[in-house]
Amino acid sequence: MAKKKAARAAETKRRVGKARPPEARPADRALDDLQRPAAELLYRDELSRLAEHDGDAPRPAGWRLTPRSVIAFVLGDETLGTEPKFVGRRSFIECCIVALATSRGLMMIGEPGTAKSWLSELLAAAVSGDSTLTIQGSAGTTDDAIKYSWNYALLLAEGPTERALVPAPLLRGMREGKLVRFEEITRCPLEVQDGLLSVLSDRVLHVPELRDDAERTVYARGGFNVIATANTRDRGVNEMSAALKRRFNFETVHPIDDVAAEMELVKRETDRLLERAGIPVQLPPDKTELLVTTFHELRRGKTGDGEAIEPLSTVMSTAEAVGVGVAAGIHAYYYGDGEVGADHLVQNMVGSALKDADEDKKKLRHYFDHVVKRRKGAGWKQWHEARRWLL
Amino acid sequence: MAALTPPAPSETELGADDLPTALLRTDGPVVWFPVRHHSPAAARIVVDLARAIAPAAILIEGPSDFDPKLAELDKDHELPIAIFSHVRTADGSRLGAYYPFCIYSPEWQAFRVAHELGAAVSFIDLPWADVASVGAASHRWADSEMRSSRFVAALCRRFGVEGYDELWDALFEMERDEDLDVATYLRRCHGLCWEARRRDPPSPSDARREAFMAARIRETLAAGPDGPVLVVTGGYHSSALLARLQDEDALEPARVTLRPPEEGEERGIALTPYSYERLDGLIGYDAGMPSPGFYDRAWRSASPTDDETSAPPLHRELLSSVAGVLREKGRPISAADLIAAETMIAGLATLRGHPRPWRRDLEDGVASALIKEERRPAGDGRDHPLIDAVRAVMRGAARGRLAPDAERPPLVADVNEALEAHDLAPGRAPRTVDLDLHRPEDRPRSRLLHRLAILEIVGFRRVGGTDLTSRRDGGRIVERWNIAWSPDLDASLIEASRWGSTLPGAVGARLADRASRIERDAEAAATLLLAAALAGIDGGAEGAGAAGPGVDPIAIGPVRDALLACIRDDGQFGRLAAALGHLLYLYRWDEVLGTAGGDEPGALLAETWTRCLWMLESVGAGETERRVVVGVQAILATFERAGEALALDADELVASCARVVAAAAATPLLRGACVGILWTIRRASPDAVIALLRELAGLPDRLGEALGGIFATAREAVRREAGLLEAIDGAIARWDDAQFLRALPAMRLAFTFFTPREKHHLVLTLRELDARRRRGDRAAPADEAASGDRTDEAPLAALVVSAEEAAASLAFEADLFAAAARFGIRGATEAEA
Repeated sequence: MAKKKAARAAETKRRVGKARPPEARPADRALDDLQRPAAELLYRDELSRLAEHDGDAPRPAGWRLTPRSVIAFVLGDETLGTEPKFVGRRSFIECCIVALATSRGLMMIGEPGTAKSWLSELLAAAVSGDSTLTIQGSAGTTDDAIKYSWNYALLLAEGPTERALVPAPLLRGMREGKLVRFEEITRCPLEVQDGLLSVLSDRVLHVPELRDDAERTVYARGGFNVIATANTRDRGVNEMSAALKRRFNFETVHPIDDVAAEMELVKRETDRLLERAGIPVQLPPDKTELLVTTFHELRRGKTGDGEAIEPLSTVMSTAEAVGVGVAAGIHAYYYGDGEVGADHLVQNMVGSALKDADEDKKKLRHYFDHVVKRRKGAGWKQWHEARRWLL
Repeated sequence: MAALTPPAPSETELGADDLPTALLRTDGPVVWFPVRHHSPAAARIVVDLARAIAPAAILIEGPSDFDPKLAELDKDHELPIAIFSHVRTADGSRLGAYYPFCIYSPEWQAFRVAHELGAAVSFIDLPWADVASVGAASHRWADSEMRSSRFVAALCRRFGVEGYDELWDALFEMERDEDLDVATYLRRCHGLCWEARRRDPPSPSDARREAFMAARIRETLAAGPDGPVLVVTGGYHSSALLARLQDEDALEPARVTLRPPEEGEERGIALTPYSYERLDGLIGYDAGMPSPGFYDRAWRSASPTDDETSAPPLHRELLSSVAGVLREKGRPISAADLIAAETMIAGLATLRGHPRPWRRDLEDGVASALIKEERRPAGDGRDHPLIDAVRAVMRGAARGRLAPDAERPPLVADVNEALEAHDLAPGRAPRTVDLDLHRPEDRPRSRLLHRLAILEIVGFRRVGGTDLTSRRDGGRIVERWNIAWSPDLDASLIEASRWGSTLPGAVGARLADRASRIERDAEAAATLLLAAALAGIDGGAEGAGAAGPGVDPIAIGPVRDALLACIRDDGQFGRLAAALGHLLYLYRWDEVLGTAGGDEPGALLAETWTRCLWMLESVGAGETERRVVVGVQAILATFERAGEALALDADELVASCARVVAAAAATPLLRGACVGILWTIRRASPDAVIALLRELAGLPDRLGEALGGIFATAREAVRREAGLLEAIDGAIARWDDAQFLRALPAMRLAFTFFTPREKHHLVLTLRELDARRRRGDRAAPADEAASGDRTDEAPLAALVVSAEEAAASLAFEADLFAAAARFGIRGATEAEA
């Protein structure tokens, strides 16, 4: 049961940030049919406009856009007509982008649900115009899935030739001079992670099976680099080898600090996901405020007035808040009057956010009994009444 | 990395189309120079401008009441220093404020260049005492107006920078000297401040200050200077001052009268050493520009004295300092890491369009390249250790020092004289001073040190000795102090002078201030009185006696009044009783502080005792057992030791205790303690005690608690009264095993009140009782059934032990004793014997 819920949360998380740009026309059938188009497809108009704006301006070798345009793409820029796609400090994005232009890889670490993967997708789309060179790290990830494997029929027929070689994302990224994304890298066994060492330092990949000397050594072209992400809740980066750590610049992705910005994001994403699901329900602003304030305070372990509360062990991420919003919207549409109420949100908070953490349910109750109870206003009163679902 | 495109922030973005042109003129009778306090760029430009226009006078935004002492500023100080202005308002609150100067402060450089050019200098702002209020920022040059400006916030968004500090850096500090000339500076800075000013109207206090400054400028102009007047103020005020000067109507009411000191108000102004640590905006909440060490280096690298060799770029110099700090901390950085960090720094600078790598580039670059884990704030305001190292380097460690001949407040001289007289002056090497308060010659020394501790003067710390607050070890009252010279000594003495100009006066004021912050906590107030007594108060029968320089008695009126108020308001028995304990000590036990038998402690003691009696009946469950016991003991002790002298009312004590004993709702502990008091002062017979025990006999866990109370207050009486022991024994005998186990913890605790010797005595008594019962001696008032049960008990069965086991045990025992003897452990020798 827990597994199923986790899968659902992962799905929600994956969809957060998926956006329908204003210029996407209904006639754009190819795009519309896709369940989740890649960022470079979704925002291709913005990207081409930025490329045009950049003209011949100097930029790191192999980059589609100048570093400043990459910032404009990620954080949005009114004068260049790009919408904000990620909420975070500008200096943080600047560090990420500069790291990609150096000879080190970029490692983004942080709590689950802080949009690390989404940011890496945006960066790959902006820098290389391609965010699909992605390796998903897991306990079962092997070298084959990272570097290359073989088409066994051809291998038997022709021996190890270029034709029989099946390049994996890393090899393709090196050959084509593109960014390669390595998701959840710390979930891979250490020896698999360390396969990246020579690639990151020498920027060379050897394919010893090939006979031709020229083909045997693949040199990375300009524009190649690796963006890895790692989750601080799972097996941490401590288990990475020091050698590999040295080859990365580490950037910590923090949860959104600004409640107002988080509210805006949660409302926008929830409404967008509900619309995509064909449900004519929106998350009302007052309910967004209740939901996001609660998530924000529980995550920080501190109320807006600076009073300490016990933080939950569950990750109260922005993505989870969107997940709760969407679930509440669907709930309200099919089983209610189509109006998202406090009851729907609280009910779904238990199911989709807290999952099976009993301790957290108690802490949440405590939060409702002591913090929410004292708040003034009709919205907070309703919110407090909805605590009956937290049994 | 040079391949990134820089942005082009231009001055037109500042708006400022309608900026009054008079602000920008440098050829008029008044030249307006806008500064950001502590900006190296402003400091450099103000010097350039002054040299160019050769002003007859330079007027600086600074406290005008320092004007008579301007010559002080010219002495041979080591920067940073600050003007420290303090005031004691009529209502008794004491407030202090700083105007810090460092080498790159525009105010400092303006002052220096005035001397170089022979121009008159004057500070033109209102004296701080005039605007002082509790909420006012204590750092007067913190640029709070610009920081909170909405225009600045909008500009930051437009320029893609994170705050006012970064915006200022981008517009002024980072510019190469050749790109930022006087005209450019004036245009940009006036433009920025003009726009900010237009959107956010000034506060009433700002308006008052500006009216005053305008009047001062007028005065200077009216005196007919033979050259232009250069007005150096925060940019936020320039345009307003210009408008006031141009406004004909403003001529009449222009004179702002200074608020005359009120009755009882005290003011002072003096120079004090300052430090970069205090100047750093990242630490203090109302400090000015952050990272003074960084700007210090920027200033020095730009100053013409060391341009003969090509110095390394600023960021590289700082990076190697950071590497040095980290190496010292045992975290060396490899060359590869340094290269990576420098690459990042250069890359960030280029991406951000900085002409040269700057403050944030350095911090971000180092963090990005060197931190290999999650960057999580440590919680107490500290960041990752690596970032802390970077910030420490950028903060700088400079500490100012006043010139030897600089004028200091009278308190400094008073303290120094007293320290010399008592041979306590701190030397270069730290030393330890041991004091025995029973020696008359040590008492004044101890008082002096306690006074310095109350004033929080750095370098004097009590590190050991008798703890008079807990009075665990009151036999001999000794103290150990560490005395060490600290670079902050001078500063802390100067700042302590806001409390008064003599040591006793300052300590008295400081104590009064602390007393005024105590609310309804009698214990805290009594502890403060104890601290005051240690520092030497008048009021004991014996008097302060051996007073010397700086140890004249302190006036403790406010502390006493606060204590009295707390005693009357405090509703917590535990705190009141703790206060009672402190006061009893001062009144009855003290041999060294000179308070014993004094009228004041006596009056306070009597008041507290009465109040404790009132509270006794309402001791809540909130008090810990330990505090209740200690409190009841204090009531009894006060009555026994001071009852006669203070004429404490015995009947009141008896009535209160009797009511508690009779109250079934009171805790058994308290009831036991009260009945114990009555018994001890012979106002209750042992029967009353036994009656209470009988009442509780059926409640095993309660009986133990009640015993604890009785033993706490009637320890002597219990030992004498065999009948009580018999009653306890009888009660216990009636319990079954489960009840006995429940009672055991509280019983054990109760009997810990006795010393081993007393316990031995108790056991002997019990054995006697038991023996009597076994003999069937019915005369003893013991429970019939219980004694009957006992006599039926079979004797213990003999232990069957084989010869081998016995031999092995004996051998083991011999080994054990041999080992004990070898280590000199007691008991070994008796065993051998």
